[in-house]
Amino acid sequence: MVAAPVVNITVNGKAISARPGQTVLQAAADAGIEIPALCNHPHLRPEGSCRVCLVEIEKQRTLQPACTFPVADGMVVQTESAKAVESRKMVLQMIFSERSHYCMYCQMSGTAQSTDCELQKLGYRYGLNHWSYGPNYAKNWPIDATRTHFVMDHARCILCRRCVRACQQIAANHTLGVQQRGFKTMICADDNVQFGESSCVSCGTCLQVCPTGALADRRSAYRGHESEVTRTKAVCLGCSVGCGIEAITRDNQLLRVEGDWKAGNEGMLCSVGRFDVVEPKPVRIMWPMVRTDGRLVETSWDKALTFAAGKFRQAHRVAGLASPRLPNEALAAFACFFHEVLMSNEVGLLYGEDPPLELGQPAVLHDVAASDCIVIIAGNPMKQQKVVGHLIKRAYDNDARIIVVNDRPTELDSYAHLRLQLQDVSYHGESPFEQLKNTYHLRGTGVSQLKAAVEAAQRPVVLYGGGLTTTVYAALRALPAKVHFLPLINGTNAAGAARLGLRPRPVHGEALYVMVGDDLPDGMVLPHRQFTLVQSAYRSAWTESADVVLPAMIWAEMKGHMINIEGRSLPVAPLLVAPKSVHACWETLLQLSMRIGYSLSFDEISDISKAVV
Amino acid sequence: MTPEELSKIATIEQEEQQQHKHVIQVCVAAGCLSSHSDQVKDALDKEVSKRGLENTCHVKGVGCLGLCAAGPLVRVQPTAKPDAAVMYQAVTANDAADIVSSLEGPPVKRLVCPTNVPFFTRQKKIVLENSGIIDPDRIEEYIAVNGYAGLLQVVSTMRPSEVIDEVMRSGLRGRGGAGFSTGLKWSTVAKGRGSTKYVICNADEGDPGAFMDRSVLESDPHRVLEGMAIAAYAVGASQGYIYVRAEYPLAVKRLKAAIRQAERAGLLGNNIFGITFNFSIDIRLGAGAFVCGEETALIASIEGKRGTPRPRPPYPAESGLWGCPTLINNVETFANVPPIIRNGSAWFAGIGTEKSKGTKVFALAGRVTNTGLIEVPMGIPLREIVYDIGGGIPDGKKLKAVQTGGPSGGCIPEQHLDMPVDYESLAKVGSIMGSGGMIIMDDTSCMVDVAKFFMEFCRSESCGKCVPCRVGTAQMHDLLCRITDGSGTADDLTLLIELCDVLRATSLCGLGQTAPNPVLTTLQFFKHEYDAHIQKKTCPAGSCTIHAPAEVI
Repeated sequence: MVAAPVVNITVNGKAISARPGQTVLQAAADAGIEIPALCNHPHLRPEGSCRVCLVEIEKQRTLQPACTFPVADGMVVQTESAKAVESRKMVLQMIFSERSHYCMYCQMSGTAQSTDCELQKLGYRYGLNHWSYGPNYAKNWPIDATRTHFVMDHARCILCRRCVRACQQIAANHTLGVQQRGFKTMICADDNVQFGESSCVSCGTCLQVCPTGALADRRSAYRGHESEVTRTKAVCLGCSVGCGIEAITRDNQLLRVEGDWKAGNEGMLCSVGRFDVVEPKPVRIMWPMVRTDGRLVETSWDKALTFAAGKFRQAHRVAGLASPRLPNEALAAFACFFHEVLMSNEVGLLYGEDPPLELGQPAVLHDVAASDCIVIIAGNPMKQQKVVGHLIKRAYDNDARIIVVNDRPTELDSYAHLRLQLQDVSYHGESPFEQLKNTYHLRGTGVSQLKAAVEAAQRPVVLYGGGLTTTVYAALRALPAKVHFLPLINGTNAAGAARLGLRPRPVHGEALYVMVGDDLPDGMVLPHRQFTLVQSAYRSAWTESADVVLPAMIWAEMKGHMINIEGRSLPVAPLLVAPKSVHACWETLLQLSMRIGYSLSFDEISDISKAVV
Repeated sequence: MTPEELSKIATIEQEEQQQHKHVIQVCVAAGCLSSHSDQVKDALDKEVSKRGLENTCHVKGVGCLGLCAAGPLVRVQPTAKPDAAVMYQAVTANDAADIVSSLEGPPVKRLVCPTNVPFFTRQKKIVLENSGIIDPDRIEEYIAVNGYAGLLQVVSTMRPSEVIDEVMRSGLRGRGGAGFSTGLKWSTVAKGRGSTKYVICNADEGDPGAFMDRSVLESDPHRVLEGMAIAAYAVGASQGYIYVRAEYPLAVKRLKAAIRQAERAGLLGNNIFGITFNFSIDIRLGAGAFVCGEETALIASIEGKRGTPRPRPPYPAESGLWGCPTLINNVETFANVPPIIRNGSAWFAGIGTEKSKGTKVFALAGRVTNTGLIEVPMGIPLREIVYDIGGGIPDGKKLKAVQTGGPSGGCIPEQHLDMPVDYESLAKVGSIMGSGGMIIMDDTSCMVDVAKFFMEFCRSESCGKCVPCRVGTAQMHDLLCRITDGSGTADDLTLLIELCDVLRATSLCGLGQTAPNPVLTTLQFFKHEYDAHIQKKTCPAGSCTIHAPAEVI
């Protein structure tokens, strides 16, 4: 084996082995030496604009930015020499003096140790207790509060352009830019329109990388410093992508969600995963309720469960519907309950689609961003799996060929180098045997065009949805072995549900058990039955029509696993503690089964996990 | 195009020119055009055809004749005796009849512009050798004066490395300002990785008062194309770009025409002179940002991005346009290349000083009698430029300073007037050669105000990317405003000097690094003027409006 090439440098007297192509800042960081920087961000291409990371490098005429300067063998670097520190202080003074950085009135204000505001932290580190230049408080720096979820306060902006670069390089949305020049420079959206009217999709990547309080989250502002909150890594249950998140919680409340840089989504999230989860929700159901004299009346768990058990025992056939947002464990317990306790096969998913068949070598999310040819056939990732949509746009920016195959216009059409038309071959016959619902076909010429494009590429990825004809799936399966496949699954854990035999389908029975978790109807009506039990976290039209209502955990309280579009089993870890009177779904089912007179084959969640994972 | 065809074009053109007994050259560069030289040319054309002299007298538009202050300029030259040419100044359309009448007799006395004066005799023309002689709109005229002979020589007899060696030996240094060795730059690009390379001509001339590049492009565009083609051959590029500011419509028009002509003649395009050397040139227009003259910002602008500099390394010679090795030279640098090839590096190295070879074109402006465009050998004493060529200070005023290098340069005081004009000497007094702007100031100029003017320029032309330049220039401008309006303090001056050091040491690109130069040189040589503003609340030059300090009750 050939040893990896090494560049030997010295930083602050310490010998360091760096990799060729690394910058001084990266090499130092790997060796545990932190060179202060503001415009630099490990997940953005370096810009070298803030000049805070200037260091002294032997044989260089002037100070050099560590964030852009490449390492070279024998290089000797001083990061905290008198010259470097002096210039760093002057630069920090300039930044502080440019706009209104009045820390005590800023929601990002932290302490010398905290990471709330990176500018303030450096101010502490270098003992800046004043600055020599005239302050700029007099100027009315605009505040743009036209975006729903976060606010841009230009007074706190240091023009590091992390937001602009995040918008370009990570989200590939290209909304943010810079207008004017010199001291008139301002961050702007599109052709200088208000953020709320711009092409911004509220992915919030800019918010996550802002080093100061210029971009402020409406929900979490003033609700806790970094030192007072807890950061927990978890999985977003917003859709089937299963993005890695970092949840910021305090006092058992979810304040904010950020993207996990180390997960497959590489820090990116969509507006649903980042912002919608902290938006106000309907009234939480804390206790079971039983319909008495036409009204839902709170009662004890024992009474409600006993009542429901009686109804289920009486019923000839009980049907069950579960939300595809529930983790494997809840779904498995639900299926088990129906099969073993109620002896019923009438159990399915509340909504969603059958996940498409597995076709070949599965792709991971990074394959999409790194691909040079992406085929999107049936499905609309820009709407349904938004983070995947961003990855496609990122690949497009890197000159990947985009081929869109669909029967209707999608948001990706403007990126498509080739667009092929799917043909609707659905057939609505009377008999269930003659029905062919939502089925689409791609003609032979289209298939050969697609094949030619994929064959010409080096790292092709095919993203495919459900509802294609067997012929098309066969054609996709016959593509060269270098193709990686990513199914566009609708329904967060539809893949996990499918492995348990749960799929969206009509269910029959005079009694109905609907396990909705924290889902909300959004216009969807439940089928009317003689007796309906709804287990839900929130009051909604669903619970209002139910005979018995049981409380449920919300996503952030659940524990278990989900299977994402990559086919990976992701652990769902509880971020919050559920109210005392709210129990996990599987526990409710255990209690209910005992009251029906049958014991389920598990009594610990680990038993179910073992069985399903 | 074959070598034979090239010499045939030259011969035919020369013969054609010999057929006319007289040639009347009318300056149609931007300076004279702005005083309606086009009308003069039309009037002369009409007059000649009215008298039926079309076959003996040829009226043509030519590039800059140099003495812009006296425009519109017209030169009448008997074909047989070129030395007997007469120059006329401040010509109007009404003078056409008199000029044409005088062809066979004595010149029109009231219009004569003497050419035996130092302004003309002390100059040494290499870059401007064809300016005012040839019609910039006709490639044949350029070919007739040995045009494209350098390119022919290079592609038919020299290896690329030999071309680079020749340029290296000539000692040519970049004329854009920094004075980097041109040969060294070329050899770095030639060694660059990959097969795709680019040659860029930087014609984004932005220094206030400077118009050397504009004049070269308007007067002799083919010279620049030829220089670029030779460079492309030497470094192995097949695509070139000329980045020219949109504020130069005439230069753009002439460049476009020249590129078309050269393409049609097979001097640009594929298989130039029958060998496998391909080179095309496209024009990219700048939108008026001074910072786009900085090479990495210029590249970003060509790529369609916001014109902001990026940190170097990597240098454009390694990774430039679209990430490929890219050679960027200034207009004047390229314009020097064809004569170096034609006449040899030894000839070029024989002109100028030990370290600064050749000539330099300056745009002479400000408080000097002969404003205009001049080309002088490197090393010429500054005094000679101001008093001999420039004709001294008008209105009996006294010289105070000479500003060179634009906003990145400095103000050279009277006591240094005997210094030679070359890269090293200018650097020694805190200024720079720059691209060739030279502004003469007399004792009515306040040097603090001058520093403020340039700082105002830098402040609004800073791209706004790096903190020191964006914030520092604004802070320095504020401080200079305080000093000039009489509210400045000694602390302000200390802070100003501190900021100068920080900007030099920490700015991302040359704009910010050199922005303090006007302040530093005025502080070095004219500190008493700063002190007068701060301590005595007076402006020695009497040009600043000092607000009386508020009375303390």
